[in-house]
Amino acid sequence: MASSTTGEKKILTLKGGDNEEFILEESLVLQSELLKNMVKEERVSSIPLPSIKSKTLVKIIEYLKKHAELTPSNKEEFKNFEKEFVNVVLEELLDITVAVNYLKINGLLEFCCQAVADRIKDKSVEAVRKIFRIESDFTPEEESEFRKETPEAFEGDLDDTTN
Amino acid sequence: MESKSRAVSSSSSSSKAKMIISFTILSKDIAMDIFSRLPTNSLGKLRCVCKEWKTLISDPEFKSLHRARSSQKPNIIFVHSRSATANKCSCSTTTRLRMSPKIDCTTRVCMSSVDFEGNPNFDFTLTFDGWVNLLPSKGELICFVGTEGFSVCNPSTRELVKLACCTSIPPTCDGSAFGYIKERNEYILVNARGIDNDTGCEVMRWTDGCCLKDRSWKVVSAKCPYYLRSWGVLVDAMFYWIGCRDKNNDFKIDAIVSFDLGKEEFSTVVLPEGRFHPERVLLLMKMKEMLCLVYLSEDNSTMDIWMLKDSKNYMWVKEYRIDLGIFDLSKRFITPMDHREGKILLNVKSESCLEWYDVENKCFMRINNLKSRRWIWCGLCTDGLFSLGS
Repeated sequence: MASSTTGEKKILTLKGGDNEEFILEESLVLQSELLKNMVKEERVSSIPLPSIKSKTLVKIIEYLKKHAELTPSNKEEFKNFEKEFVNVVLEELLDITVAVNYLKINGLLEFCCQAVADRIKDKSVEAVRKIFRIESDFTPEEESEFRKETPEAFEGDLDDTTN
Repeated sequence: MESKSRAVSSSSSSSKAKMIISFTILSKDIAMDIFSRLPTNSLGKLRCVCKEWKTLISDPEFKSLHRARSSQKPNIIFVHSRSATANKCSCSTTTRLRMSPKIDCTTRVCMSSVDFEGNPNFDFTLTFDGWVNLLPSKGELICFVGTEGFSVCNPSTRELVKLACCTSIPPTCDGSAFGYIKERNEYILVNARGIDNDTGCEVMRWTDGCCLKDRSWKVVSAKCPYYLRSWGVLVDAMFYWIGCRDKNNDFKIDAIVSFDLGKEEFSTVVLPEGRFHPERVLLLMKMKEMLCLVYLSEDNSTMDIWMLKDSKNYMWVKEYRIDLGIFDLSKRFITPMDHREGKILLNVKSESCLEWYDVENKCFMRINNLKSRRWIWCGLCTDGLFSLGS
């Protein structure tokens, strides 16, 4: 499609982890520092992103589109969109956060990190371990020391579901 | 298990590794970003999760990021105290947190904290022998002064350390000062009792992690030429107090006394010129990184806030005038606490409420959710991990 002011809009293909392809305008991906550098330096038209699930990529592209349409008049609407955007299961939110960090989309990264922080704020140690699939590497002595020192750490929100 | 958690501190290249849902694929940077948005009590839990997280949370780089973030949104801390033997609430009616110096009693100090929306953070009690007063800093730490001497507390971690005794006469709130220098992440405590003190002035300074209980005072020979009323205020490496010549009439101010931390010298600051009644000065405080003098009109109906815009040439500017007409003026217990984004936070102690004063629209907005909280002192405090080395 030709436009008198911007010339022909460049099209770019992003390839998600499961080989699904997403075709979008190059101007959209420039919000990602990583992709911007790739496009500028290498003049590529297709970028493989094997580490990002297609499902995650769909979400991020949705954000990029909304963010590109952001004007002073629809600020409120965008804020609501952001709130809804992170209103997903924690597992998915972490996927998005990791991907956004990799792609270096700074504004969204801030928002995602805050959302993750809000979600884990009141969780107990055991719940956090389960959510992040971490097994304690402390000795049983150290572990019981923690329980003595900060019993409240092992209380609180025991809900380890990632919702 | 080891390898799983080790990845937290690995470089960002780990994000290219295969995806598993866990922090293991997160770079140290992103873990730091997320953790730095959490309050100290949540970090207390996370440090028990695994060794890598424990190391990350005590990393100086992490601590400074966390401090930078939490100082953007300080908490409001309420302090209430009661003498345990008399079991009677010792609410003071002056600006100062003053309690009768009964030696043979203990004082229970209840501290609770909320954020600006009124959501509670913590609630705990400390017990001191004898009486105790409080010196605020607006940083992470609070200093207590009383029969036991000086003690310092980080309310976020609940760490409490009793300091070494001063060589001079027992300290009081009057003539003491406690402050925080952000650039150096350093706290400074000064005990300068004024003309009745032959030993001059004593200073203690410390940074994060320093073993505070072993810290000693530095005796400075400079002598303060005035009686100092209330606690001092630290602005730009200078402490300021209200100074009086007459010890028995401390409502009349004769000077603003300054103590230069670099030169270790006392000096005085020229007061604002014009129609200025020294008896009407309520207090000194710091706002927008400047020294402010809070002044009440004769009928208590207006509050003027003067700012020392240029401390070298003593240029004072009457920056704000607040009409206090909507409050019960007979009790006149209204003190400004802070200035944020065009609003001044006011402590209306007599009505147990906090109000935001909108400078541009000249209107008040009350912070709700404070429930039936009562306090003898309330101020701002940054949530943080500052360690007293105990």
